[in-house]
Amino acid sequence: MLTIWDRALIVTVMAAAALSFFLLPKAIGATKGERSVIIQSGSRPIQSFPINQDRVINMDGQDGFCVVEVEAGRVRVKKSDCPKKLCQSQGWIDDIGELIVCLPHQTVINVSSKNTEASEVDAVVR
Amino acid sequence: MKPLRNIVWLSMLLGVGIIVQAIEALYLPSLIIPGAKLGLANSITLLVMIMFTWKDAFLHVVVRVLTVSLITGTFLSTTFLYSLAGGLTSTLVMIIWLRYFYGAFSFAGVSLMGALTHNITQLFLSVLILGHIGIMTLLPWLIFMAIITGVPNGLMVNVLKPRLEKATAQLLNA
Repeated sequence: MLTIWDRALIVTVMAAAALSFFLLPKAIGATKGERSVIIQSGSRPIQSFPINQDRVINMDGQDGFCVVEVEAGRVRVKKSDCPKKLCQSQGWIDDIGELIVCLPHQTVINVSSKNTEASEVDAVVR
Repeated sequence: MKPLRNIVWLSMLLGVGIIVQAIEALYLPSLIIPGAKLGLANSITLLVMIMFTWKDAFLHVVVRVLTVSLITGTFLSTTFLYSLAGGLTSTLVMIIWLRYFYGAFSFAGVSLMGALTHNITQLFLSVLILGHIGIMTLLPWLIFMAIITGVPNGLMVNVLKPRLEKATAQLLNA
Protein backbone atom coordinates (compact mmCIF):
# COMPACT_ATOMS: atom_id res chain seq x y z
CA MET A 1 0.00 0.00 0.00
CA LEU A 2 2.86 2.38 0.79
CA THR A 3 5.11 3.27 -2.13
CA ILE A 4 8.86 3.73 -1.72
CA TRP A 5 8.34 7.50 -1.86
CA ASP A 6 5.72 7.28 0.87
CA ARG A 7 8.19 5.50 3.10
CA ALA A 8 10.93 8.01 2.24
CA LEU A 9 8.58 10.86 3.13
CA ILE A 10 7.66 9.26 6.46
CA VAL A 11 11.32 8.77 7.36
CA THR A 12 12.17 12.34 6.36
CA VAL A 13 9.33 13.77 8.39
CA MET A 14 10.33 11.66 11.42
CA ALA A 15 13.89 12.92 11.07
CA ALA A 16 12.56 16.49 10.93
CA ALA A 17 10.56 15.87 14.11
CA ALA A 18 13.61 14.46 15.90
CA LEU A 19 15.81 17.29 14.69
CA SER A 20 13.39 19.99 15.79
CA PHE A 21 12.99 18.21 19.12
CA PHE A 22 16.67 18.73 19.89
CA LEU A 23 17.24 22.06 18.17
CA LEU A 24 14.11 24.03 19.11
CA PRO A 25 14.69 24.47 22.85
CA LYS A 26 18.10 25.95 22.07
CA ALA A 27 16.69 28.20 19.39
CA ILE A 28 13.99 29.47 21.71
CA GLY A 29 16.63 30.10 24.34
CA ALA A 30 15.98 27.99 27.41
CA THR A 31 18.79 28.76 29.82
CA LYS A 32 19.31 27.60 33.36
CA GLY A 33 19.06 30.02 36.23
CA GLU A 34 16.45 31.54 38.43
CA ARG A 35 12.97 31.07 37.16
CA SER A 36 9.95 33.30 37.04
CA VAL A 37 6.35 32.81 36.09
CA ILE A 38 4.85 34.92 33.34
CA ILE A 39 1.13 35.00 32.77
CA GLN A 40 -0.07 36.30 29.46
CA SER A 41 -3.52 37.15 28.26
CA GLY A 42 -3.73 37.28 24.50
CA SER A 43 -0.34 38.63 23.47
CA ARG A 44 -0.11 40.94 26.51
CA PRO A 45 1.85 39.91 29.63
CA ILE A 46 -0.29 40.65 32.68
CA GLN A 47 1.78 39.27 35.57
CA SER A 48 5.35 38.25 36.18
CA PHE A 49 6.92 37.10 39.47
CA PRO A 50 9.55 34.68 40.83
CA ILE A 51 8.39 31.05 40.92
CA ASN A 52 9.54 30.52 44.52
CA GLN A 53 6.91 32.91 45.87
CA ASP A 54 3.85 30.79 46.66
CA ARG A 55 0.56 32.34 45.68
CA VAL A 56 -2.86 31.73 44.19
CA ILE A 57 -4.04 33.99 41.43
CA ASN A 58 -7.69 34.31 40.50
CA MET A 59 -8.11 35.46 36.96
CA ASP A 60 -11.60 36.62 36.14
CA GLY A 61 -12.20 37.64 32.58
CA GLN A 62 -15.23 38.31 30.47
CA ASP A 63 -15.09 34.77 29.10
CA GLY A 64 -14.65 32.92 32.37
CA PHE A 65 -12.32 32.31 35.26
CA CYS A 66 -9.05 30.53 35.78
CA VAL A 67 -7.25 29.89 39.07
CA VAL A 68 -3.46 29.69 38.86
CA GLU A 69 -1.56 28.20 41.80
CA VAL A 70 2.15 28.65 42.48
CA GLU A 71 3.62 26.37 45.14
CA ALA A 72 7.08 25.01 45.98
CA GLY A 73 8.72 26.30 42.81
CA ARG A 74 6.12 25.00 40.41
CA VAL A 75 2.93 26.30 38.86
CA ARG A 76 -0.35 24.85 37.65
CA VAL A 77 -3.88 25.79 36.67
CA LYS A 78 -5.87 24.73 39.70
CA LYS A 79 -9.29 25.40 38.29
CA SER A 80 -10.72 26.67 35.06
CA ASP A 81 -14.17 26.86 33.55
CA CYS A 82 -13.02 26.14 30.02
CA PRO A 83 -14.85 23.23 28.31
CA LYS A 84 -12.10 20.59 28.03
CA LYS A 85 -9.94 21.55 31.04
CA LEU A 86 -6.76 20.69 29.17
CA CYS A 87 -4.86 23.39 31.08
CA GLN A 88 -6.02 21.88 34.37
CA SER A 89 -5.20 18.28 33.46
CA GLN A 90 -1.69 19.24 32.37
CA GLY A 91 -0.76 19.56 36.06
CA TRP A 92 2.36 21.15 37.45
CA ILE A 93 5.12 22.70 35.35
CA ASP A 94 8.47 23.91 36.69
CA ASP A 95 11.10 23.91 33.95
CA ILE A 96 12.23 26.94 32.00
CA GLY A 97 10.44 26.99 28.68
CA GLU A 98 7.50 24.90 29.89
CA LEU A 99 4.11 26.42 29.43
CA ILE A 100 0.43 25.87 29.96
CA VAL A 101 -1.86 27.23 27.31
CA CYS A 102 -5.58 27.72 27.79
CA LEU A 103 -6.86 28.47 24.30
CA PRO A 104 -10.49 29.25 25.23
CA HIS A 105 -9.28 31.95 27.66
CA GLN A 106 -6.34 32.93 25.44
CA THR A 107 -4.12 32.57 28.48
CA VAL A 108 -0.49 31.43 28.50
CA ILE A 109 1.38 30.55 31.70
CA ASN A 110 5.07 30.27 31.11
CA VAL A 111 8.09 29.44 33.24
CA SER A 112 10.91 31.66 32.12
CA SER A 113 14.40 32.55 33.23
CA LYS A 114 14.54 35.30 35.87
CA ASN A 115 15.46 38.21 33.68
CA THR A 116 12.60 38.03 31.21
CA GLU A 117 13.49 41.12 29.23
CA ALA A 118 16.99 39.91 28.52
CA SER A 119 16.06 36.29 27.84
CA GLU A 120 13.65 37.03 25.03
CA VAL A 121 16.27 38.30 22.64
CA ASP A 122 19.94 37.41 23.07
CA ALA A 123 21.14 39.88 20.49
CA VAL A 124 19.74 41.86 17.64
CA VAL A 125 21.77 41.89 14.46
CA ARG A 126 21.01 44.57 11.96
CA MET B 1 -24.60 22.68 -13.75
CA LYS B 2 -23.24 19.49 -12.31
CA PRO B 3 -24.96 16.20 -13.06
CA LEU B 4 -27.34 15.10 -10.33
CA ARG B 5 -25.16 12.10 -9.48
CA ASN B 6 -22.22 14.37 -8.60
CA ILE B 7 -24.40 16.58 -6.43
CA VAL B 8 -25.62 13.53 -4.52
CA TRP B 9 -22.06 12.22 -4.09
CA LEU B 10 -20.72 15.58 -2.90
CA SER B 11 -23.59 16.00 -0.46
CA MET B 12 -23.05 12.54 0.96
CA LEU B 13 -19.32 13.09 1.38
CA LEU B 14 -20.01 16.47 2.98
CA GLY B 15 -22.43 14.83 5.39
CA VAL B 16 -19.89 12.17 6.33
CA GLY B 17 -17.17 14.82 6.78
CA ILE B 18 -19.37 16.96 9.03
CA ILE B 19 -20.45 14.03 11.20
CA VAL B 20 -16.93 12.66 11.57
CA GLN B 21 -15.44 16.05 12.47
CA ALA B 22 -18.26 16.93 14.86
CA ILE B 23 -18.01 13.60 16.69
CA GLU B 24 -14.25 14.00 16.96
CA ALA B 25 -14.58 17.54 18.28
CA LEU B 26 -17.34 16.75 20.77
CA TYR B 27 -16.64 13.26 22.06
CA LEU B 28 -13.11 12.08 21.39
CA PRO B 29 -10.38 13.01 23.88
CA SER B 30 -7.16 14.59 22.62
CA LEU B 31 -4.40 12.22 21.55
CA ILE B 32 -1.16 12.53 23.54
CA ILE B 33 -0.89 16.32 23.30
CA PRO B 34 -3.60 18.93 23.90
CA GLY B 35 -5.79 19.54 20.89
CA ALA B 36 -4.43 16.72 18.72
CA LYS B 37 -7.14 14.90 16.79
CA LEU B 38 -7.42 11.99 14.37
CA GLY B 39 -8.37 14.24 11.48
CA LEU B 40 -10.62 11.64 9.86
CA ALA B 41 -12.47 14.41 8.06
CA ASN B 42 -9.26 15.10 6.18
CA SER B 43 -9.49 11.75 4.42
CA ILE B 44 -12.97 12.68 3.23
CA THR B 45 -11.59 15.94 1.80
CA LEU B 46 -8.95 13.86 0.04
CA LEU B 47 -11.68 11.64 -1.42
CA VAL B 48 -13.53 14.72 -2.69
CA MET B 49 -10.46 16.07 -4.49
CA ILE B 50 -9.71 12.63 -5.95
CA MET B 51 -13.24 11.96 -7.20
CA PHE B 52 -14.09 15.54 -8.15
CA THR B 53 -12.20 18.82 -8.70
CA TRP B 54 -10.02 21.04 -6.50
CA LYS B 55 -12.82 23.62 -6.43
CA ASP B 56 -15.17 21.04 -4.95
CA ALA B 57 -12.55 20.19 -2.32
CA PHE B 58 -12.24 23.82 -1.20
CA LEU B 59 -16.01 24.25 -1.11
CA HIS B 60 -16.27 21.00 0.86
CA VAL B 61 -13.77 22.21 3.48
CA VAL B 62 -15.32 25.66 3.91
CA VAL B 63 -18.87 24.36 4.25
CA ARG B 64 -17.74 21.55 6.59
CA VAL B 65 -15.81 23.89 8.91
CA LEU B 66 -18.70 26.38 8.95
CA THR B 67 -21.30 23.71 9.73
CA VAL B 68 -19.24 21.97 12.41
CA SER B 69 -18.52 25.32 14.08
CA LEU B 70 -22.28 25.88 14.26
CA ILE B 71 -22.78 22.40 15.75
CA THR B 72 -20.03 22.79 18.37
CA GLY B 73 -20.83 26.46 19.01
CA THR B 74 -17.43 27.81 18.06
CA PHE B 75 -18.50 29.89 15.03
CA LEU B 76 -16.20 32.93 14.57
CA SER B 77 -14.19 32.03 17.69
CA THR B 78 -10.45 31.39 17.63
CA THR B 79 -11.15 27.64 17.40
CA PHE B 80 -13.06 28.32 14.20
CA LEU B 81 -10.17 30.39 12.88
CA TYR B 82 -7.66 27.59 13.57
CA SER B 83 -9.95 25.05 11.98
CA LEU B 84 -10.53 27.11 8.82
CA ALA B 85 -6.87 28.08 8.40
CA GLY B 86 -5.67 24.51 8.91
CA GLY B 87 -8.35 23.16 6.58
CA LEU B 88 -7.63 25.58 3.75
CA THR B 89 -3.81 25.29 3.77
CA SER B 90 -3.85 21.49 4.07
CA THR B 91 -6.36 21.26 1.22
CA LEU B 92 -4.17 23.49 -0.94
CA VAL B 93 -1.06 21.39 -0.27
CA MET B 94 -2.91 18.11 -0.84
CA ILE B 95 -4.30 19.40 -4.16
CA ILE B 96 -0.82 20.34 -5.34
CA TRP B 97 0.67 17.09 -4.06
CA LEU B 98 -2.10 15.01 -5.66
CA ARG B 99 -1.75 16.75 -9.02
CA TYR B 100 2.04 16.68 -9.34
CA PHE B 101 3.32 13.85 -7.16
CA TYR B 102 0.56 11.25 -7.07
CA GLY B 103 1.94 8.05 -8.57
CA ALA B 104 5.28 8.28 -6.86
CA PHE B 105 3.37 8.81 -3.63
CA SER B 106 0.18 6.95 -2.79
CA PHE B 107 -2.72 8.70 -1.08
CA ALA B 108 -0.92 8.02 2.22
CA GLY B 109 1.87 10.43 1.20
CA VAL B 110 -0.68 13.03 0.07
CA SER B 111 -2.59 12.69 3.34
CA LEU B 112 0.60 12.95 5.39
CA MET B 113 1.50 16.21 3.63
CA GLY B 114 -1.99 17.51 4.39
CA ALA B 115 -1.81 16.55 8.07
CA LEU B 116 1.64 18.10 8.37
CA THR B 117 0.48 21.36 6.78
CA HIS B 118 -2.63 21.42 8.93
CA ASN B 119 -0.66 21.07 12.18
CA ILE B 120 2.10 23.50 11.26
CA THR B 121 -0.40 26.14 10.07
CA GLN B 122 -2.29 25.93 13.36
CA LEU B 123 0.95 26.11 15.32
CA PHE B 124 2.13 29.24 13.48
CA LEU B 125 -1.30 30.77 13.85
CA SER B 126 -1.27 30.16 17.60
CA VAL B 127 2.18 31.77 17.84
CA LEU B 128 0.74 34.79 16.00
CA ILE B 129 -2.46 34.98 18.02
CA LEU B 130 -0.90 34.36 21.44
CA GLY B 131 2.31 36.21 20.58
CA HIS B 132 4.40 33.61 22.39
CA ILE B 133 7.31 31.93 20.59
CA GLY B 134 7.48 29.23 23.30
CA ILE B 135 4.52 27.47 21.69
CA MET B 136 6.95 26.40 18.98
CA THR B 137 8.24 23.75 21.41
CA LEU B 138 5.15 21.76 20.40
CA LEU B 139 6.46 21.51 16.81
CA PRO B 140 8.20 18.09 17.08
CA TRP B 141 5.12 16.59 18.72
CA LEU B 142 2.82 18.03 16.10
CA ILE B 143 5.03 16.70 13.29
CA PHE B 144 5.01 13.30 14.95
CA MET B 145 1.23 13.42 15.37
CA ALA B 146 0.89 14.27 11.67
CA ILE B 147 2.59 10.97 10.83
CA ILE B 148 0.50 8.79 13.10
CA THR B 149 -2.77 10.39 11.99
CA GLY B 150 -2.02 11.34 8.37
CA VAL B 151 -0.64 8.01 7.16
CA PRO B 152 -3.52 5.79 8.41
CA ASN B 153 -6.02 8.26 6.93
CA GLY B 154 -4.28 8.02 3.58
CA LEU B 155 -4.13 4.22 3.76
CA MET B 156 -7.86 4.27 4.40
CA VAL B 157 -8.36 6.32 1.22
CA ASN B 158 -6.13 3.84 -0.67
CA VAL B 159 -8.65 1.16 0.26
CA LEU B 160 -11.82 3.26 0.01
CA LYS B 161 -11.32 4.79 -3.43
CA PRO B 162 -11.44 1.59 -5.54
CA ARG B 163 -14.35 0.29 -3.47
CA LEU B 164 -16.37 3.49 -3.94
CA GLU B 165 -15.68 3.41 -7.68
CA LYS B 166 -16.79 -0.21 -7.85
CA ALA B 167 -19.95 0.60 -5.91
CA THR B 168 -20.88 3.48 -8.22
CA ALA B 169 -20.20 1.38 -11.30
CA GLN B 170 -22.51 -1.32 -9.96
CA LEU B 171 -25.21 1.23 -9.18
CA LEU B 172 -25.00 2.70 -12.69
CA ASN B 173 -25.24 -0.71 -14.33
CA ALA B 174 -28.14 -1.85 -12.19
